[in-house]
Amino acid sequence: MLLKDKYFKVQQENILTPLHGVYLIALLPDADVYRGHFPHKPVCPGVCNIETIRECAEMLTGKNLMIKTIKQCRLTAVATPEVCPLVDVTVMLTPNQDSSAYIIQASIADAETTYMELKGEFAINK
Amino acid sequence: MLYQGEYIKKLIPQRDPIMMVDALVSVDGDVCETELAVMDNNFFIEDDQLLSEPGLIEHIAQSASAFAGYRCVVKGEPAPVGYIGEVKKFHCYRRPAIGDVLKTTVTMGAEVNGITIITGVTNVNGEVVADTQMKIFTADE
Repeated sequence: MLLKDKYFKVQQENILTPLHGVYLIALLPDADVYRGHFPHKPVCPGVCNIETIRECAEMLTGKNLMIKTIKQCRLTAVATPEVCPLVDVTVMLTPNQDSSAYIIQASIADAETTYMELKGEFAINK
Repeated sequence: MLYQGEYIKKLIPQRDPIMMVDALVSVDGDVCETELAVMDNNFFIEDDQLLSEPGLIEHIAQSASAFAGYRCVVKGEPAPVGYIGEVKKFHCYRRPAIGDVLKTTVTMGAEVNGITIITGVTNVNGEVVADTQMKIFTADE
């Protein structure tokens, strides 16, 4: 995985069903990406949070998943490792008709703020 | 090529290891073209040696950012810092490989209250590998 243990670290996993999980993760302030995003002003790249959702969905399913479609992904607040050192990544999956992909609904949030909401389709076996 | 190499840094605020545009190739009205050669040390290269899908999204976002930056620098203003506000109707048809050159066309819509809607299409060797819409909002600072 691209970002697990480099950009985020799982603190706790709450597997509610095989297709519904909540991962409490720490956003690592020393992650290499902050050298460039942005110099002297670390801000979580939105795309890194999308990748984090994908990696949590892969942990939940134990499968390689490809982001085939993002129907909508709203970045509702600016996330930084300082503003939100700990966030919940919630992943809800529904198999599509021929079981080649999951319809995914996911969010990244803490108690006060939602940082990201994503709806899309992740194909199995990338 | 309008801007490439070190000069691209005049247009976008991102720096190593997450610079995802090599060149602003052309600008014509509301449309620009950019390029990125996928190298083996790219931040978004996965274990299977292919670019991850969020890498394509970041490349399209930075292409729009370079376009917005270009429009400012030609007026003598500093390049703005833009954030992705929304990704909509993103499709990934194929993940690019090391050595592929991404050629991206960005069409910029009108700015309303600091929010600009853009569309981006990325080709490799004439084949569309990804397309998306995006809302980009520009910080005041």
